[in-house]
Amino acid sequence: MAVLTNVVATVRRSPLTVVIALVVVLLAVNLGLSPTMLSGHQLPNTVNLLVPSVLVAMASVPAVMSGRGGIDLSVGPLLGFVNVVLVGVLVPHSLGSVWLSLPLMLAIGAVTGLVNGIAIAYGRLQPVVVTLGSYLVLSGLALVVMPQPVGVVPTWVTYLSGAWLGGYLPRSLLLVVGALVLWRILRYRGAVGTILATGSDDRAAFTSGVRVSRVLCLAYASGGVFAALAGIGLSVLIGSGDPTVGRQYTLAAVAAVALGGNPLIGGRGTMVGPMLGASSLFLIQTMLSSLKVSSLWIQVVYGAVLLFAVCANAALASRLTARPRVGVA
Amino acid sequence: MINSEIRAVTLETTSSDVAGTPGAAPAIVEVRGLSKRFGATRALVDGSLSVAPGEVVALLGENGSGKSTLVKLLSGVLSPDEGQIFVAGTAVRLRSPRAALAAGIVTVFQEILAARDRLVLDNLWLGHGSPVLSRTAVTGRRRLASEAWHRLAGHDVDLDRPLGELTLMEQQICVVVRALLRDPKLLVLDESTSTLDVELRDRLFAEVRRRAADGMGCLFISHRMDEVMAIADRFVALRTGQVVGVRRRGEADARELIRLISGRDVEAGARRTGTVRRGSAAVRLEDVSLRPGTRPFAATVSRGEIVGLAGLEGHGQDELIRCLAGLQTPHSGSVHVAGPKGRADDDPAAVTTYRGGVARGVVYVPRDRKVEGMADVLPIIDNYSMPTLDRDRIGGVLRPRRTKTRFQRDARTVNFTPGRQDSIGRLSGGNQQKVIIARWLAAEPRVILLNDPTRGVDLKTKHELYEVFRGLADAGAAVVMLSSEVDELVHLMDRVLVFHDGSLSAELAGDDVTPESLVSAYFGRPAVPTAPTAPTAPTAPTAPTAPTGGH
Repeated sequence: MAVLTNVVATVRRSPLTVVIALVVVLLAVNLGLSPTMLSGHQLPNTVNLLVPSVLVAMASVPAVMSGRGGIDLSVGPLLGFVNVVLVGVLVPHSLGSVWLSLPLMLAIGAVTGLVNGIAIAYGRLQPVVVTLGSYLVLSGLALVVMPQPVGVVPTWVTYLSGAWLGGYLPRSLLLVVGALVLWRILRYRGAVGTILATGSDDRAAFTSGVRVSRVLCLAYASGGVFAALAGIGLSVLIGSGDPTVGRQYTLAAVAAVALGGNPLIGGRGTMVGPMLGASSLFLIQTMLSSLKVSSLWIQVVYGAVLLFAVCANAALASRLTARPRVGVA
Repeated sequence: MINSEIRAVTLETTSSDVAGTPGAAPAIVEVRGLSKRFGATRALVDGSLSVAPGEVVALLGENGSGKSTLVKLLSGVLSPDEGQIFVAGTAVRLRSPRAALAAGIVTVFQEILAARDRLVLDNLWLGHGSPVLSRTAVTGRRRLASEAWHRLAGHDVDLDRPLGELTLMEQQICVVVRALLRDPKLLVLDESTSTLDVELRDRLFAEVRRRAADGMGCLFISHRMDEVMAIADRFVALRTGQVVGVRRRGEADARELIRLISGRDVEAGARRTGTVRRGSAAVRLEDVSLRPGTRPFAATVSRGEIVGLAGLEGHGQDELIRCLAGLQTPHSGSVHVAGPKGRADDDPAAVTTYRGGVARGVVYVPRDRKVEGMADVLPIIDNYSMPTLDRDRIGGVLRPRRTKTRFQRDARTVNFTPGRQDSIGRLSGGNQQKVIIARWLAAEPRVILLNDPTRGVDLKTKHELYEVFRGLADAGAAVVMLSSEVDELVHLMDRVLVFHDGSLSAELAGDDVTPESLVSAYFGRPAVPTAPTAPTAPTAPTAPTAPTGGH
């Protein structure tokens, strides 16, 4: 009984229950359909496909956490823009070495996020409108820089597409590790806590001496850096420049955040949840292609799974919290 | 613009005089000539005030008198148009709450400002930055937080629960403890006692006194005269943005203070009529037990009477009023409400849902009006007409003119004068409450459930509301009102049901309702017969002997 109560309490605390169950089931189905998916031969390809989606989901997280209707629609085009700048600008000007291009791309991400953040925090504009604006600007700029898919990635990016340990340790995971380290540092410095507190009640945070505007800028800037890492992940995946492929990542990222159990009103949530959410969307895709289902159906299934997961999260949360509240005795 | 700059410069020179004054210790905080206007409204005019080390100063005034503006200026939420703030004799500019906190001015705001999604521990240290990098490490924070909580509240708290899962009172404790953890030089308590029960309020006062003995200053704001009289060393009265009087403790009684802040003599408001004209039973509770294992009880509420529900926070009175409203069901037993007119009164039906209650003429005015009571961005009139809009439909088409007519009538009844403000969110707390009560008057209720309706409402409005409640009872409604204020229970209620440990512990009627009998019932002790005590009731500061003057 006590064990059961503990389990229930843990489940209640954890918004991850649904998404973890989803990933486990989908992984089992996928392995049943194609047992070689996790073999050293196929694993790097699988992971390279997965990495940009996971990173772009991570990029959406801080903005959503920061509340006030926070959302960053520009992460998709930003990832595409970073890819295009790398292949179409940095490589031709022989700036493609890792020591030059990596910091430059991260800076592009940070500055874009910062601009969004400044407009939202100091300009007091709606996040949806601001980031929709930068979505359009970045999509357009990507086409201006590179009208057609073309070019090759620098050697360090090609190197990341490989793997160590006979294929069992894909090097593209370094990008995810990098993002997690950055998030860890932010958490360690207390920034994640203030982002969440601001998202929960920005007036409470403000009157408690939190510099709310800076916190919002930091949230969007860190999202931008994650999106830049996603851009590198995309370059690893496609091995060239493509100005249009980035955009489609935006909505998948929002879906991943919701799937991961993070409420879109902010103030709560985890980083792991949306990463798992992105993984489950990816696993749905591979499952459908193993089943030879027409790719036209993918979006339908995405949407259905998303609605199911959101309902399951809500049902779980309400069933477990709808108990009579007993006051202090 | 230029004028204000010159003024600032002259004030700078006086500030050095203040700092240079030999002998007297400088005030912790002094404000001089502080003014603030919003558009055409002068919220504060030439406000001056000082708080010495160890002193508790009460700031008195009705809603809209400039108290909140002064608090916001001191806490750095607003900046003054004119005037200066001195901290320990030095002129400071408080550009943000952060700056005010750094200067040692820590404010507990009227609203409970807290991040409800975050853990209690995070809330207590909100704004302190990372525990890893600061001087007080994680474990230290934990220890300090639970010590401070225990010292104030007398019980422990689970620091790892999300704050939103705690009761309103615990959330209030959290914001007070958060302020105390900052070791304030000046602690500003703006209506911070309104959700605390008597026991906790006394503990808070003791803590303030303890800290004052170590040199902390306190600016205390409350609408409850008994609290103000209990703790303040000095009283500063504000009216329409101006300081209208300063009195030391002992120089003025409650009556005099009320006269100062209202500018005229205030009657006690709706007094008990003495002869209780009880009608037929409107609500009947049968064998109700609120929680598993609590003693079942029975009670009735009749038409024409006002019945108070009282007790320490969380002892069952809140659950009972929610059961009456049909918002929750009692653990066992049933709640019966008499049917509509024309039907036999002795045919009361059990109410188990909110809609069922509404159909029988039960209306409920919730405690937390911000969350449960109103749509604060909508216009006043829409907030008023929400539940009764169907009446203004003719052939399915809404007639706004009809709504307006109804609103004007009901607004007059509650003594609410519509001003230029359109959205209800911009009204003062008292006026918001009037609009919400007018809304339910429109529903022609037979049973009115009021959950602490005068919380955070200024004295004058409170008395107006009492008149309205009395009027409703006289018109034949049964009024059930949960109240946490002893004065209110003593002076307004025909009967009071006191709760302890989830059950009815005492039922006091008429003159047996005294502060002493109430408090002993709060703690589950049998009520002491109070017949021999003098009728002068010295603990009831707002009770003049004059009869009720209906105006």
